[in-house]
Amino acid sequence: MREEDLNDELASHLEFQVRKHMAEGMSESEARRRAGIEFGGLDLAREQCRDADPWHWLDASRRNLRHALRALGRSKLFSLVAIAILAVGIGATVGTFGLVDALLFRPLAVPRPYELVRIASLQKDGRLRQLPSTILDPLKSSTWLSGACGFNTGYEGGETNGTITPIGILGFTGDCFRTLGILTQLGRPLGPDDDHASAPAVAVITADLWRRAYGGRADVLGQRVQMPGSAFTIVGITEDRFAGLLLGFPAGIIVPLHQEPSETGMVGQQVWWSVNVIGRRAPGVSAKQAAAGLAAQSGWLLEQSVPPRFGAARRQQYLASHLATAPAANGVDYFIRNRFGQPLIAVFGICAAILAIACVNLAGLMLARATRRRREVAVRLALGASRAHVAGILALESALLVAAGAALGVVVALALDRVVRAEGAQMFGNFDVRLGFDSRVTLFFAALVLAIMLALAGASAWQARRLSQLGSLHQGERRVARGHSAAQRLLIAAQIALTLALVTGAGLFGASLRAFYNLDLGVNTRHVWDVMLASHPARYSHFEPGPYYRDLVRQVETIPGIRSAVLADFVPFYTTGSTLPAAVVEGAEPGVEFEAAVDTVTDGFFRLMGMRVVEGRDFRREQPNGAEPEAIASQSLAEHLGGASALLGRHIRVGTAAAYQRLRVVGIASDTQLSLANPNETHPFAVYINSWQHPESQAGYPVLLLKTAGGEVPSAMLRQTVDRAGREYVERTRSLDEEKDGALIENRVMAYLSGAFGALALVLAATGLFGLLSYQVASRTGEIGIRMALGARRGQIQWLIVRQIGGLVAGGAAAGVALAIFESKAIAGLLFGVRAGDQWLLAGSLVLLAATALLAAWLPARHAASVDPLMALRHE
Amino acid sequence: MPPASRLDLLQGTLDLLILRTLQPGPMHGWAISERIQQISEDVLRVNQGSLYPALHRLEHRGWIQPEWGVSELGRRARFYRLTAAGRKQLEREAGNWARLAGAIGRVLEMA
Repeated sequence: MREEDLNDELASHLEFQVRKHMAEGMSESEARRRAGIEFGGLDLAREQCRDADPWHWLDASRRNLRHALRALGRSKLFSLVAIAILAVGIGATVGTFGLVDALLFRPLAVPRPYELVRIASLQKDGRLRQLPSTILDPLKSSTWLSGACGFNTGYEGGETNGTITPIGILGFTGDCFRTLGILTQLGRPLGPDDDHASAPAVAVITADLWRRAYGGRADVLGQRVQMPGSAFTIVGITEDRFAGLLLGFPAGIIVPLHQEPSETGMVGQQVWWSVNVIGRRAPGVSAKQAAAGLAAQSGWLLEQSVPPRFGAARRQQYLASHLATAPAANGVDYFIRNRFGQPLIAVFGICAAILAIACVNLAGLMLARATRRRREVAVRLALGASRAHVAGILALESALLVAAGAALGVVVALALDRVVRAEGAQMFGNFDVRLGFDSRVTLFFAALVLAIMLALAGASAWQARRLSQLGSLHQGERRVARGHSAAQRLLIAAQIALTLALVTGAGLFGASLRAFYNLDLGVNTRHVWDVMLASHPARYSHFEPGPYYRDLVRQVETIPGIRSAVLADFVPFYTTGSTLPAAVVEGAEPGVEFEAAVDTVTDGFFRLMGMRVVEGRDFRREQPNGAEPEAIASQSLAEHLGGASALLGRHIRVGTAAAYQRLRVVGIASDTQLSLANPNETHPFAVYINSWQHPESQAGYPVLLLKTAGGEVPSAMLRQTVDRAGREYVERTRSLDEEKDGALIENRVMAYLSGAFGALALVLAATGLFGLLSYQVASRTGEIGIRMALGARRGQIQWLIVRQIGGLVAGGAAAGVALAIFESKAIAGLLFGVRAGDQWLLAGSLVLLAATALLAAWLPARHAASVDPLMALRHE
Repeated sequence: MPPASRLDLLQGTLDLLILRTLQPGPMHGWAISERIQQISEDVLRVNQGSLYPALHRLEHRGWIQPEWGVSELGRRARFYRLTAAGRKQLEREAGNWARLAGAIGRVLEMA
């Protein structure tokens, strides 16, 4: 029923009553007074009428909602700060939960994933190693397994529909689809009949590749995917939920293992492959029983599966393998969990802790706000509102804040996911995880928001009840004030300590990152780009690398805008070049070896990288007939071996490859750091080998290094040139500065994360202080009024308030300094170029903290000083 | 002439009285309270503050049906009409009341 209708009805009743009394002879005003008294509380009647409606709560909540929105709108700063803190806290917590879930806990999208068990060779360092596929047949006879299969993983550019796209590859033995229970939504799965060298080359593609490369068209069956070395006819599409078996790296194409080109480039030459073995436990067999089953069979299994063509030594080694089972519900992981598992959980813990602190502080702020509104509460109660109603209004306001924060938190979480995916892809090429709000993350999000809502709304409601109970008592205000302060103060002091530690940590990581970027690497990376070339899948044929690349480099150098081009076998700062044992061939004592980074480059490499050939000469593009294989040594290496002039002209050997056993040193190059893995190694030993003299080494993963005239790489022309040369395409082009960024990803993440956490902690500590003091000011308004009436000046009042947090901040900061020193010792291993106990950093953090605390205290202090003594005393 | 004493309504009996009063035909709130007072010869007095919540309660139970009409004073007024469900409810409650009153009467006579 509408509000006006109810008013009309009651008014018409009163009108009748008035008329009746007037008819009895009363004056109109007397009649009205009488009618009013007889009727009793009009508001009460109205309220009771509303309550009679079983749907009245809906109407009432709309009214309350409007009211709450108005109230929040009145204190905009409070609302904005609260929403922002909640958004960041909830977003970060939910975002990291999504990551933790995706990388550590999410099971494979196959039926009954927890039955899956990995069987592998357990290494001494605890890692699991693949097994030869020959073990599958004997393994299948085990009674504790209902099935077993093997697969390997890969990643190549493939041609679909005329365009080349990066594709994750799964090579399956015939039983994998059945054992794992992967279903196809279109076409058929692969079976044992497909896994033969003589069978036609067929493949199942994942729904992901199907959408990406074929737009999800139904006529894709029968089409061909050209992979390097062979073309596969598509016979099926997996169901949508199946993303692959390798953690972090989605699959695109699934091919029979026998159809995979082996290392020789020929199909079907091998008779066994190294595979990840996965079995499904037979019904009723526990993980423990499976492990026991494997242990009992281990010797026999190894005996039965020694791969053919193993020599005696390798056979012995293989028979000594230690077979073990491991849970495989989450698929197979090569390094993600090892490298990021612990840090991720730590970050999630920090996020959750910060969110918890944020909620406690928000509750403090709300307490202060409710206390300041005690008059409003008193008025509402006096007007006949029930206590529950008043509590409900305050609770609704907090619930609204949480809802707004949660909504923004979703945006924050999604943004975080995008950053992680982009950074992951930047670092590992085809890294991708399905993040975002799947059912588990949504559930966690809902539970989290509900918990926060209940906690904050509960705190508000509780405070409202207290206020309504104490509403009329003057003493009450102070009693309320004293009730919380001890616990609250302790909490805030702890926060200040934590904040100082976090801010100091952020400073350390930031300084460390800056030190990395300021490092003199001995190269000039300005305008230098690297171009990774990949074999064109359809043009995979025999060719002569030497003349081919000589031509390519020459062609690339004619592109306008490109100054010079060099062919190398590594990407500076991205790939870790090989470090090999080396020695001087003649004159030195036998057995005196040294480790050196060995890079194969063509002529012009040193000029392009801004290095110098300090003695001797650079490589030449054309080699005279019968020229000896050449090498150039780094300055530090030359000094180690007795000086540049002593080394020039002598021979060194590198590694074990036959071609590198006698290299004539023709030049000495200036020292450089081309990897940031060991930043303290500023003068690494290096041997550069003339790539033109070893054309067989060029065909692996060739990299073009380009120096432009100043702009970006003219990529269209470059693509054309590479394409015209015939067998390759440009897989990726990046500047060396980008490669440096990529190499520093962990340092950057730590610097940014710790910076974000530090800033958040500062904001939180500030809100905590602000809440505490606002509450004090609100509770002591009367006292402040008296002081001002007695002649206290504004400055004195402000000092009275600010003074309160002096001890608190000092105590917290002292604990924080101890914590920060402890922390900087703990993270010293992650730092570079900055002293762990840097007192300037610590001092800077202290100043920042003190400034924040003062600002947080100043606002309530200003509020206290603006108290009108007359108003304050009137209420006393 | 004020009566010797006025009785406050027993809890729950107000609903019964409203339903009974509406039996002859639709009426608005004030008329209902006047009618109860009149018929009871001023012994029963309806607390006007609780009349309307009771009316709204009965309405939401589906026993009476409101409709807007024009009152004797020419104002918009809400008239309440007994529904079929309300008639049944009235019979039930009237029966209950008669049994209760009879029982109390017997106890008072015999004890």
